Amino acid sequence: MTLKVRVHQGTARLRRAGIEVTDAGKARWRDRLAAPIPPEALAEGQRILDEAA
Amino acid sequence: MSGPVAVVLDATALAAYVDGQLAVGELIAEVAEEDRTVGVPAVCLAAAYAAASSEVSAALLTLLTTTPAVTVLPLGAEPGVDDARQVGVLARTAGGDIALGHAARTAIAHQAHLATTSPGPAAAVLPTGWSILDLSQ
Repeated sequence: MTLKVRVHQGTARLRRAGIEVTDAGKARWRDRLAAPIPPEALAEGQRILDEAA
Repeated sequence: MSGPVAVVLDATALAAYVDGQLAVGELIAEVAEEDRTVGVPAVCLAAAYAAASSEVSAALLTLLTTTPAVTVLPLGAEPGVDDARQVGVLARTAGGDIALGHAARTAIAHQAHLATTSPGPAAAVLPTGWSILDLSQ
């Protein structure tokens, strides 16, 4: 199954779940999702988990 | 699960989805198109079910979990107490909000963005500079 087909099926399921989306709406999140979490934050997060384990 | 967890939804994000807030669906759709996954911590899902005001709301939550890009992430996937202790310690920072503690623990463990309609409490729990996607805007 191609990615295009899977995306189409996924969008159909989202619609059944009451989610109607637009390209403009999705584009709003694209840049945010592409931005990596800063390495210092990742290191601090790991430190927090290690200390709490 | 079709790909790595890119975003974790907290309980407020799930409530926003139930209320029909379009931003949640747009975020999920974008993550799906990138062949990545949206993680729903089990404790957040439980909190959302508890807050659901109708059978329709509960059904919407159940339906959300069946979408291909969404995966429910359990608390305590491995035997032992580490996960529970980490969630508890993080929840302490959030005034005892166990759901937010689980969301933060999941976001850190998966190195994922945290999506919420309440960025303030989330920022208090997560490390400084962590990516928080504000669904209320």
